[in-house]
Formats: sequence, C-alpha cells, structure tokens
Amino acid sequence: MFRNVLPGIENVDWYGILSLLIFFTFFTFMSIYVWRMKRADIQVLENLPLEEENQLNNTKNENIGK
Amino acid sequence: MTTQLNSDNMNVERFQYDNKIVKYFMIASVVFGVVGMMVGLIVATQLFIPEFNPLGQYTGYGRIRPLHTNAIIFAFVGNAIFCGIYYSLQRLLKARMFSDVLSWIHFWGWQLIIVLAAVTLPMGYTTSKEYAELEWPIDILITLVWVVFGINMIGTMIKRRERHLYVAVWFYIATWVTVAVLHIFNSFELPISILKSYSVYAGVQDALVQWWYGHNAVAFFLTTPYLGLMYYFLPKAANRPVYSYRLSIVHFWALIFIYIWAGPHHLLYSALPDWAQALGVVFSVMLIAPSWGGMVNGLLTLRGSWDQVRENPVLKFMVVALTCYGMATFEGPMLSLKNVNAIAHFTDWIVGHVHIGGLGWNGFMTFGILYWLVPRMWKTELYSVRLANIHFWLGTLGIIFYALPLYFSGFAQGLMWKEFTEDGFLRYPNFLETVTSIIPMYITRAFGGLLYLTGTLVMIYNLVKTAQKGSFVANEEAEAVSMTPMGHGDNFWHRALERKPILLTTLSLVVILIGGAIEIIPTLLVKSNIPTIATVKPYTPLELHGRDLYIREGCVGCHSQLVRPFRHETERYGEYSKAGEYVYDHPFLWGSKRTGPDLHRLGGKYPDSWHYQHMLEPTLISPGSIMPAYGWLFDQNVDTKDLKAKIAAMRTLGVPYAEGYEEIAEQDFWAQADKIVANLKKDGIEANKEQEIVALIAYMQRLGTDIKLKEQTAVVQ
Repeated sequence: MFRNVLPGIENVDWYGILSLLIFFTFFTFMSIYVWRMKRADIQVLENLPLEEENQLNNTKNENIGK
Repeated sequence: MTTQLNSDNMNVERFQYDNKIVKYFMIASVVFGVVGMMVGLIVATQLFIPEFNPLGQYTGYGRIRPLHTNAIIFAFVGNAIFCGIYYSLQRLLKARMFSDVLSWIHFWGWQLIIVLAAVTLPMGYTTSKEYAELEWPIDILITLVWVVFGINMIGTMIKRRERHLYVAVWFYIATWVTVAVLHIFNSFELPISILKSYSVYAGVQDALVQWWYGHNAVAFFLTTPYLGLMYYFLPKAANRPVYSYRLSIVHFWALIFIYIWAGPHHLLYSALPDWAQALGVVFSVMLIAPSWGGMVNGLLTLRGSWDQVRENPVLKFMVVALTCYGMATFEGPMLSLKNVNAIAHFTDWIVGHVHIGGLGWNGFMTFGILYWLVPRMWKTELYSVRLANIHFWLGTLGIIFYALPLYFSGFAQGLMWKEFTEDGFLRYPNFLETVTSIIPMYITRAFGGLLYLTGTLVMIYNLVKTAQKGSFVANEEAEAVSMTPMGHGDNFWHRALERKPILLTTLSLVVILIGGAIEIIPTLLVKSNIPTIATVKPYTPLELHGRDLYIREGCVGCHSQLVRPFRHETERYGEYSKAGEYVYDHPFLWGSKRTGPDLHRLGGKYPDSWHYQHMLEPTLISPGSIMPAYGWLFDQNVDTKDLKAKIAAMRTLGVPYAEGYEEIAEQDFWAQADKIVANLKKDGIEANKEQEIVALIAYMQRLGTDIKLKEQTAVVQ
C-alpha cells in the first residue's frame, strides 16, 4: 500500500523528514524552555490555584519575566 | 460591577465572581447524568432481556444507545466541564466572566441542544456517525453555542487581572479550539430535509474523518478539559501545588501534539490505506508517555500526604479517577497494537475500556469536584462524609462489576470467533453461540451499572442536604490588583503576555492541524487510495430508502459492515471488504461493535421471507437470539416524498445517477418493491409493497453483492 499510495503525492519524500523536523524542533525548544525556567517563577505559577480568592495577591507576581 | 480603589501605586479593583452560572451547569450535569445513566441501564438490560422495550420503537436498542452516549458525553460530562471551567477560570484569571449575557446564552443554548437530542434520537433522526449522531440543524446550533462559549472564555482572558495563564487554562483553550475544528469538519453534510442529511464524505474517507473526530472527541472533550480541571481542583483539594509544573507544560504540548494523530487505530485491518493505519498505531503507542506523565503528575501531587486521602472523600474520588485514567490510557495503546486489536475489535472489551474512562476518569473526577465545590459555594461543611464514603465504594464496586465482565466477555468472544477445529472448520460457526455464552457477563455488567447509579443518587441526596444547611452566594466578592499600569521597562513582556491567550489559541490550532492535515488530506485527495471496482453500482431508490431505515433504527450499533482480511472472518462471512465497495456509501456504516454478526456479505444469503420473519420475530428463526423484534417496520408505510431530493443530493455528492433520474426513480422504487412482495408470496407471506420492511429487505439483499457479481462474471467468462 505504501508503494501504491505515497508516490501519488507530490514531494512525498519530504513528508517524513518534515514531520521528524517539526517534532524534533518543537520538543527540543520546549524542553530547553522548560528546563531553563527559573525556580522562583515556577513557584509563583504552580501556586496560582492556591492563592486565596479574594485577597490582594498580584503583588508578588510583579517581578516575573524581568 | 467593578469598583476601583487606589492605594499607593496599586490599582485595586473590586469585582464579583459569578457563582450562579456555575451552580446551574452543576445542576444540569447531575440531572442529565442520572438520565444518561438510567438510559445506559435500560440498554444494558436490553442485551439480556430484549423484550424490555417500554415505548416500542422510541426505546429500541439501536435508537437509545446513541441517546445514552450523547447524554453522558455532552450532557453529563459537557455540563460538568462548563461548571468546572466557569468556576476555575474566573479565579485563575481574577476576573468575572467576560459577559453574563453570553454565559446564559451558553447555558440555555447547550440545554436546548440536549433536549433536541433527547427528542430526535429516539425518533430515529440520526446521521449514524458515533458521537456525532445529531442532525444538521442541531449541528449548526452546537457550532453557534460553542462560539459563544469561546468568545466568553477568551474575552475573560483578555480582561483578566492575572498576568500568567496557569496550565489549566491552556487545556481549556486547546479543548475549545480542537472541538471546534473536529465538529465542523466531521459535520459536513448535505441536507435533504429539515432533519435528514447525507455526509459529504463517502466510505473510507467518511470512516477516516469520523474516527479522526471520534477519537479526538474522547481526547479533547473527555480528556483535555478534565486534565485542566484536575490541574486546578486537585491542588485545591490537597492544598498543595501540583507535583511538577515543568512536567505539566511538557504534558500539555506532547498530549495535544500526539493525540490528534491516533484516530486510525479505530480502523485497523479495515479498508483504510495501510500507511494511515500504521501512523495511527505509532502515535497511539507514543501517547502513553504524555498520558502517564499527566497521571503521575497528579498522583505525585499527593506525595507525603496520603493520610489525607484516607480522610478526604474528594481526594479519594480523584485518586481513583487518576488511576482509571492511567489504566485507560495504557490499555488504549495496547488495544491499538494490531495483534491485540485483531482479538479485541468489535467485542465488549472496547465497551469495558471506554467505561473505565467514562465511569472512572470522568465520573469520579466530576464527583470529586462536586464534593469540593458544593460546600464552598454554599459556605458550609459537607452534610455527611459517611454518605460520601458509601458513594465512593458503591461507585468503585460499580466500575469493577461493570468492566471486568466485559473484559472477560470481549476476550472470550474474540477468541471464539477465531477458533478452528482440527479439521479446519470454525469451531463456532453459528455466531449466536458466541453471544449466548456471554449473557451472564451482560447481567453482571448491568448490575455494576446499577451500583454506580445508586451511588450517584446517594451523592445527590448528600449534596442537596449540604446545600440546604448552607446559604448560596450567587455573586462572590473579590478584589485584585489590575494588570495595568505596569512598572517601567516591561512593556515588551507585558504586550507579549497580553497577547498570550490568542497566541496560545493559535499555537494549539497549528499543533492539532498538523496531525489532522497529514493524515486526512492525502486520503481525501489521492484517488488511488480507493481503487474503483467496475461492478460497484449506486443503490436503487428502494435500497437507498432501505438504507435510510437501517440508519434510522441504529442497526450499525450492533452490526458491522466490514469483513476483515482474516481467515476466520472470510470463512464465516465471505470475501473480505474492499475500499472500492463503499464509494457510494454516504455515510459509511462499518460499525464498531458486533453484538450481532457482520452484515457486509448478507445479500443473497437468505431468501426474502427469512428476513421478513426474522425482523418480525428474531427468536423464531434464531432461538436464543438477543436481537429485538422490529414490529413497527411492518405497521408503518414508506414515505417517498423525499426520494427526488435524496437522488439529487447523492448525485451532487458524486454518485453517478443519470441526470433527471430522480423524475423516474419512484417507478423503479415500486417495481422493485413489487418483486419482493411477489417473492414473499411464493413463500406464503402476504406483504404490502408499502410496508417499510420491504425497503429494508431490498437493502439487506443488496449488501456486498456487487463483488459477488464480479465473481459470477469471472466464472461465466
């Protein structure tokens, strides 16, 4: 079936390479991004659901990303 | 509604969270959940007491099985998703929902859709595509309500007071985008009348698009929103942050990237091109990684505080939910391996598998969230922890009594279908033998369902009592610092973050489109995917009408039309199915479960009179059969008023009826009906050509005969 169908698609030889590239690039960048996130930032982010709902609580977020 | 307080440099805003909308979605979820479970119990009972059919055709198995699946997926789980999202989104973004008006349009619109489904499905208005059975006007309504939900959700993100979007919000965004894409692409259908349409895709293509949808409905309606809810409510209930936020980011992207490719594992050994099947298997196996990453992240959140789980019913439910999620997402990839699939496909194993997900993951996570939410929204304590524990055990035992018998019956029946004697004959040539041997399992499964439903009723009592002793706060006061103005020098980041919801939405869309596009576009475009077979001809008008009756009665719920290329299948049913045989099938009717035998080679196997008697009283022809009787097909007459429109629509979709054929189609219709009536008369049956059963016999006698024609021609030559 591979032999019958795939040659029917124009430039099909690029499909496999392209998928691999997309995967590789995407997950590499994501892993690097995740790995390099600062511990302090992570702490703020993971605590977002735990903040008391009706308190003034944005103040400690001010420094993220700087 | 928003007041501002200026204190020092901060711009503090007071506002109110909308709890009323959360309460309404919650009530809708619980009420429709009970209805959906009761319908499930009825269909489960019908499998061992086929006569249990209180309202005749309106409660026939084929018609109300989709009512059960739709009620559970879209009414019970759907409303629970909205309940959880409307509660958590407001708090995570520190803002009231974007618009109260949109919230209420969303709520009432969704309930209207559910009511329309509850009316049309039992009446037999169905497209027959699993989890997408609703007809075209309701499809349009779903699209509109979904857009309203999207505007409301993204609007809230834009006016939020919290700069960062917590990972739960990402899951909500991906859910919204993907469900929109899936629903639109799978619902392309050509209307014939106000409640009847034909899928624009045919045969293999229709199957691929449907299971791309079907699989991802599980992924993006039953999984991603619930993962979002898990990432919010589990840390809340355990009062500690999620085990690893880093892992949650990887979990999110890997899951939405990989899930979308896995659909073809529903079509292994089918007439779908092999390369598409292979892709489906590879990605299904890869899915274990992100799925288990999510489960582990949830369970490890409780590390060091398992003592809490012993005390707290909310956590108990969530732990079992996560465990079931882990089981189902391990089992899914295993079932997608071709050698396992060869046994499991078309059997009860699959039904057991989805119920581990439905009862365990969705059901228990919902119950956990409700036990957490109600005391908070009514500002009180849970009425009875003891009752919640009783519910927990009833539900857990219910899941076990439900799933285990089905695993056993699926495995046993799958092997029985395959078994040959030493002389090379099928050991169980009569399909019915393989059914009657698993009836005790069906009884046990229904008992499991009953336990689960009883537990749910105990929960409702407990939650109503809790609400009665508390007082509900419809608008909860809150205050938060406005996001603007920000400090100096951070304009760039500020702008980038402001755009984040839109950016995230777009990125999610791109990620899910890649998988869909690579799988589906080649199948749709490349003609050589479907080798044409010269003897395959369009259905006659009477057969077409019979096919619509087959769709109306939901025959596809129990009978496949797909003979797989296995020796035991070709021995039992005949020549295996070819892609080219389905080119005029709008929609495809391959089915996904064989409670009865495959019907693809049924045509010409029995005389017309056999079908007549069998449909009237199945047990007379096959003693011990669990097929219900279809008496109404003998009392009701065919209605030919849409015949012209049907022929014209089919031609529009590429079926080669001659130009103007619709004008003379009715003559052919009655001529063929006369022939069947004459055939029946020879066997001593007085039938009327207007009876619906005549059209259905015409269709059943046609099934799979195009290939037989080819064989006959070859022999003659």
